[in-house]
Amino acid sequence: MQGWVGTIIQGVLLGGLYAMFAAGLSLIFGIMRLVNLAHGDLIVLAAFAILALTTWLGLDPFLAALLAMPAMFAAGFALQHVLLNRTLGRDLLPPLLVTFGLSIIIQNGLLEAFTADSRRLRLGAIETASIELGGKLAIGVMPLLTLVSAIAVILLLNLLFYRTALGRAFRATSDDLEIAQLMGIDHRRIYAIAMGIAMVVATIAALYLGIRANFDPTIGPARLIYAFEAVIIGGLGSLWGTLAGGIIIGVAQTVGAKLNPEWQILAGHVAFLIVVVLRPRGLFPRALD
Amino acid sequence: MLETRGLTAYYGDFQALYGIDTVIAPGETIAIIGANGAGKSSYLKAITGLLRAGPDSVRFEDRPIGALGAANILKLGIAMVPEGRRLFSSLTTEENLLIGCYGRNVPGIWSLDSVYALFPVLKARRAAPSHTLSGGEQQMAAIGRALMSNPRVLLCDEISLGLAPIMIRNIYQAMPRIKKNGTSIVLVEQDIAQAMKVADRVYCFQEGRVSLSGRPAELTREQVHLAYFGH
Amino acid sequence: MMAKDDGKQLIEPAGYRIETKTRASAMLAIAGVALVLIFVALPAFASRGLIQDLIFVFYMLALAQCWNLLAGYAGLVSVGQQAFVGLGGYLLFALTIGAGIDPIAAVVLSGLVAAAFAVPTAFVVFRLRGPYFAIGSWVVAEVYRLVFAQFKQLGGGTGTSLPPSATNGIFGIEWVKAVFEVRSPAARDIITYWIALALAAGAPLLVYLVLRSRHGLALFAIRDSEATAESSGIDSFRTKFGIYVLVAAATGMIGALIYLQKARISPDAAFSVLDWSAYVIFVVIIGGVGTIEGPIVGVIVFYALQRYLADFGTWYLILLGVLAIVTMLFAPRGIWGYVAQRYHVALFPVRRMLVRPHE
Repeated sequence: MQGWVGTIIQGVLLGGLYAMFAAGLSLIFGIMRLVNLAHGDLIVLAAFAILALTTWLGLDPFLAALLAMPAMFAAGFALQHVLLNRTLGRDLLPPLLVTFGLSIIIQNGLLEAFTADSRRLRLGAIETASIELGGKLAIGVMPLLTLVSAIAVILLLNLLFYRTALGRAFRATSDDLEIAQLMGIDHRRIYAIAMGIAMVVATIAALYLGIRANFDPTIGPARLIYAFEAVIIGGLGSLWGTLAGGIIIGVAQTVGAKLNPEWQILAGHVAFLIVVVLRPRGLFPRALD
Repeated sequence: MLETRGLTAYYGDFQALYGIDTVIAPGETIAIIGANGAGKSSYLKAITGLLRAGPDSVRFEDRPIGALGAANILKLGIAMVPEGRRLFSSLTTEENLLIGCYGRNVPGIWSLDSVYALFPVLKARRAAPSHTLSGGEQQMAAIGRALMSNPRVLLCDEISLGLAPIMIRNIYQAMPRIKKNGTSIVLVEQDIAQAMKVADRVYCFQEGRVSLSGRPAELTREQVHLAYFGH
Repeated sequence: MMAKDDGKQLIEPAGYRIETKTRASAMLAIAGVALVLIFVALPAFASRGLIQDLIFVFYMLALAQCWNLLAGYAGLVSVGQQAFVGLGGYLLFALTIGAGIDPIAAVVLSGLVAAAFAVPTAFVVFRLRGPYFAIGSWVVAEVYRLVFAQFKQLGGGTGTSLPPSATNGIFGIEWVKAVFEVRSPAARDIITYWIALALAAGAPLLVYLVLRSRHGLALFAIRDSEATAESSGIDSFRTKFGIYVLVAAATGMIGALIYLQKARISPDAAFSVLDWSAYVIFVVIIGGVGTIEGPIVGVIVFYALQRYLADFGTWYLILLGVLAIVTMLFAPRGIWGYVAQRYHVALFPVRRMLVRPHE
């Protein structure tokens, strides 16, 4: 019994990490219907940026991440403004292909700059610290912090969306681009700001990714798939849904791993496909689409 | 103040407007009438930048604005109430009003309070998601949304479409108050009666051209009929 | 007045005809047949290296035609076709090693079995649309990969090899050895080459025939406006479903051929999204999506890039990425799309034209 409870708790905590990967993607997909196939690689890029700052400036990873955030915001803003805004339209292929090309470029660029060696962000003792929960249950401090951070990020994003003028502009642009333009909203700037915010979230995700496990330039696509699964399970436009989606994938993976370690990733995919068959629009889709 | 000169517009290869000349003076209420497909909505879209037009074919306060994009047109003070209302479905009534002043936030008569005074029912439904409002309520909200930018010119595209007569009368009762504040209003309508009642001048469109213009009082029914239908 | 289409003959009004032929296409049809015949005879005077290179060109072309039919014409943008490539490859290994079936027959059988797998797969992925469909198809391919990695009989995660005994008895090998005066490995390559040629020539032909059929007309209608097409009586779901299964069968056969040649299979290679989706999509986009001629142009360009630049490793891949982006932004219809628009050419004309009686 304890084994299973522990497994599920681990799954929920893992889900926090996946929700973090997915939050930025959910934002982008919700506002501009952009399928960003480079999202995973952008998270890895952020991780390397944090690594570089910790190595060159001797900073603690959290501080390095804080420093990296404005740079990543600017990078996202520029990327959207210069490149991705030109691919948006009715056709599905251009954004898919351009972001795929971007993914290849980022992966191979990182390989050239940093080689294929596995890296890690070091924090010291706290990496393996854990909290006793009674019985034989213990949860790691970092995984808990990851989940708490994911919830905090989503809370902040929702606050942005539902309590600020900018958030209204995001939602309006997502609802009806033509009328949003009539309301004086410059959608190109809105999209660029959204991408910048998504990159900031990706930086936070990168921080927790790099602390938790080894990373190298090629792990982007796998993270992208988990992120997308979380977003699709959650439903278009719902950040809490994305959290739920991440947790479902996380729990499916840990349960699968408990049955057979080789089944971990497969279990996550199967859970995704089951939800897709039963609820193609996700668990908490927006009212109209 | 707002004039079009030889305005032409195309949807791809299809020409919708064949050289429209109109003038709207400050504080005037203009009615644009015409049958379906006469080019009335295209005319508004060309002014607001949703449809491409020659730079000099639309002038506002003697400046060419024909080539400007939609967002910039609003900033100049030209606001549109689009055909079919088109409120933002994931925003509440109040949020729809608030987004109206996102692009152009200038001091003026119109604010949340004054819009709620104009259309009290909106206040009662302020927190409701906009897609739950009735047709008439949505129309009021769309007008309020446009007013929130304190526009110099208010363009109304078929605001009576799909509404019950009593609702149409309700909405048109608001027109004098809007007009009183010096805003020019352009009413594109298929319902000739209401439009002619509040308008200072009328233009009639027929197949992309102006077929008639003048003051409502000076036009006979036969003239209007001829201009509207072409026969 | 148009008479009803009972599936056989469309009766046009007085003297009007519906045609797809153009003068250029008729001439090119003859040239095309001649080209294929030359390719058939090529092993007589080509080096083994060239033959192997051509096998690569042929199967990439075939894959590109298939993806183009799926995404360019049917609007099903799939990033998961590697599922059927890998499936075909594993089926070939299973049928030849496990059941001792002749490899040529195994290739065909792999296609049929792949089609059978495509049916339930379609039911899952068709629940999704647009970008969701793309991601879903990728996930499905990952599931295939992970499941096949579990089968220890087929080598598990590290894969397995195709022993010579499985292919030395391939149909016609003795004849080839005698006629071309070569040993078994080269003879096997020649037969593999002919299978690849058949697939490469067959794929564009298949796409052309589909597009000229009623189902092709349905696809064009769906592409223009799905709602309108449905209200005209077109069953959009069934049409797309049929195309998906057909393409899966073809892709399965191609996958079987690929691994017949490579003679070594592993889950990561067989279900590689880079090799069997990314490169294929690249070929189609560079050449021109939504045209039959496009993939042909694209595969030539891709082969040239691979041949001369692949040694540059990561920089080569970065170049491909940049090319994909530049093409999508500035020439979204690809090289052929640009040419076709400029010069109004169509080698595989599929547009239906109404021809007046005396023209």
